[in-house]
Amino acid sequence: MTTRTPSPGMQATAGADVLVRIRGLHFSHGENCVFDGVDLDIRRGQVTAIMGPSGTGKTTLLKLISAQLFPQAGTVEVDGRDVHRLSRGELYRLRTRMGMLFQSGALLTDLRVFDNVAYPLREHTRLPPSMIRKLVLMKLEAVGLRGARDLMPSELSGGMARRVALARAIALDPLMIMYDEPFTGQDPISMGVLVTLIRQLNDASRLTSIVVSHDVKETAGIADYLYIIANGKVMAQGTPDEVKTAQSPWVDQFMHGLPDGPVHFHYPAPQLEQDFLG
Amino acid sequence: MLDSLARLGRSGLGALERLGRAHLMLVGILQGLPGLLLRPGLLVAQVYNVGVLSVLIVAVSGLFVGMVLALQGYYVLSQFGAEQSLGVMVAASLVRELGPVVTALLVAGRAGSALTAEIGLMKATEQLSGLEMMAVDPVERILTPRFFGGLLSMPLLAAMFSAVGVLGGYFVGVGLLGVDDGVFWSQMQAKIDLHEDVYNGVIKSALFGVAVTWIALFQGYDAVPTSEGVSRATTRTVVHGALAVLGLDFVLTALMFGD
Amino acid sequence: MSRMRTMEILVGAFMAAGFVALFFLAMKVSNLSAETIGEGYPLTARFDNVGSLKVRAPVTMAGVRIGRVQSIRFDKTTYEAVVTLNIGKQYNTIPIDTFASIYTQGLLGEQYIGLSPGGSEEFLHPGGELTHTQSALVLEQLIGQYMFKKAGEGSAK
Repeated sequence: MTTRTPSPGMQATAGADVLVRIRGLHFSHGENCVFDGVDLDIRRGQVTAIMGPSGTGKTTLLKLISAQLFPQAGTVEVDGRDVHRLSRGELYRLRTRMGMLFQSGALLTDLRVFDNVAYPLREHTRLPPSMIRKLVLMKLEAVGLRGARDLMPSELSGGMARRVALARAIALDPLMIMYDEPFTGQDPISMGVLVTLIRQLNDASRLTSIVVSHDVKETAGIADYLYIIANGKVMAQGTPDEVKTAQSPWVDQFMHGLPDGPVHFHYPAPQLEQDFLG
Repeated sequence: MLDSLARLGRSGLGALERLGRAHLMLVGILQGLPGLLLRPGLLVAQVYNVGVLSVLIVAVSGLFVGMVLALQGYYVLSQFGAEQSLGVMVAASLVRELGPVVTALLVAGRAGSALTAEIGLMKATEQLSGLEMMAVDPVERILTPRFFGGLLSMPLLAAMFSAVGVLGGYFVGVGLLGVDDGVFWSQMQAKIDLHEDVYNGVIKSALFGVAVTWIALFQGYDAVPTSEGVSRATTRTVVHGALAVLGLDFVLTALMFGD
Repeated sequence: MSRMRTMEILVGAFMAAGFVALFFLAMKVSNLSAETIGEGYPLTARFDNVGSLKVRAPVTMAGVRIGRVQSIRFDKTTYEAVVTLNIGKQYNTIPIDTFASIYTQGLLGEQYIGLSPGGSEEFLHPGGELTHTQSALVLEQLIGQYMFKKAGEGSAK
């Protein structure tokens, strides 16, 4: 478990500049209402965590920010620009400034680790191969996998695949990185590695990080600011300390992992006597 | 009663929706052509995947089909004393119909299902989303090469099928059944027309190539991103592909060989 | 990158094999080799009845194919069929009194035009007309004639 040292000058308050501004977001997937009027601010240079129970559409939120999905109502502004009004070319340019780490890494399975990390560089820059090689090795070094450069994705463990995907996500030195459930299914060591990496990368490169997760302990450990989303709305927000001591029983149940509370333990069922004696 | 009507309406609308998505995907694929010409390596890889890897099954099938045609044809023709027309019969059946159609069915099964599974899996493991996030158009980078690879490979494979089939028919007809060597070829050459038969056969197989590849790519691209979804999509590719080929064949034959 | 190279070689071989197959079909299977007749010149011929003669049907002389039927049209003033023949350039010694008849291949086969040379020393030029023609034999007419003749014999007895 890492101890979080706030970066100099970064107060987790409204004082810092906002990179991603979401207002009045409404999104439905078919019949389900996923977001019912959500307002969010992601501040530059901070690690902002978005948490909530499974299935509340946290991955959907990331896709809305990167304009892979379009909302029914509301605006998403990145760096002052409404992402859903951009032309295709502008949107693609914006995406080169965003990095995303998918839950499974999403490496291209027919390329080696080296080529996977080099992919965005080869696509979007005209750098000579020697330069690209150095950059790729640097990025791999940052995640500790420079020695794995010739392996195929199928030969990597889950944790290693995610780290390679992280190296790929930072290949173009983006403005911000979005992490989709980075801690899910990781052993304690990989978890520790990832947690460290997320924080270090954020501070070293002055990145903005958005971490979507339902892993309270790890996420709250590194976040500068938290949002808890449930039932399509923001249930709580603030610094980890503020949220932990919030007065809502629901937030309390979530943050402390209590089995019963506002979210019931028992799925609705007829009375016990009816089922067993009826 | 109303329930079933509602369900029928819903599935009809769903089918229309899917049809619309399939066309949008095709437009995207065609728009990716300029990008493909800049990266010929991708096309080469796909011609390999669809074409080269199908040669064995196509050639062996062609050989057997040609031989069976000669065998069956001989027995029928000898009833009318027309054994000498065996060459024409084998060649016409192959070049006009069996070459394009059977090749398309084989390719739908072998290469089509592989394409669907590959793309469905890429969707399920978020590789397509990953490409999108890296500001690379997955349609242009993944689908377009596969589409043109299939389109290019099909006529060549069909020609190979027909050619090997004719040779197979030759071995059985002339070698085994005693049809005269010279007559076998001369009758064939007199009756098989380059424009009517060979060109039309090539056009047919090109159109089958479009149909089979389009269906295979769409099923993969639209698949539900789970293992069950991908397996169902693969089955659908083979079934829909086969039906499309046979239906298209009827229409094309009526147009080309009718009067 | 040698995996790429192997792939490229195999794809090249595949495409070559495909073209060879197409070439084989074109040359050995279809009538391409028999087709090459070079340029031709037109001749016309008028028939009362062309039967089932089709465009691109062969035109032969002494059994050798020297051309093809180019077009068939109907003359609405003389009620005749006007057939345009495309004769190979090298066959330019066709006498002007040559006979053009429509024959049938085999018993029920395709119809074609057979030319029987006349004795004249003048030859037909491009655009010329074969004036001696014999129409196609129509099976129903033959049968009718036969029956008529038989009936005539019967009543004569």
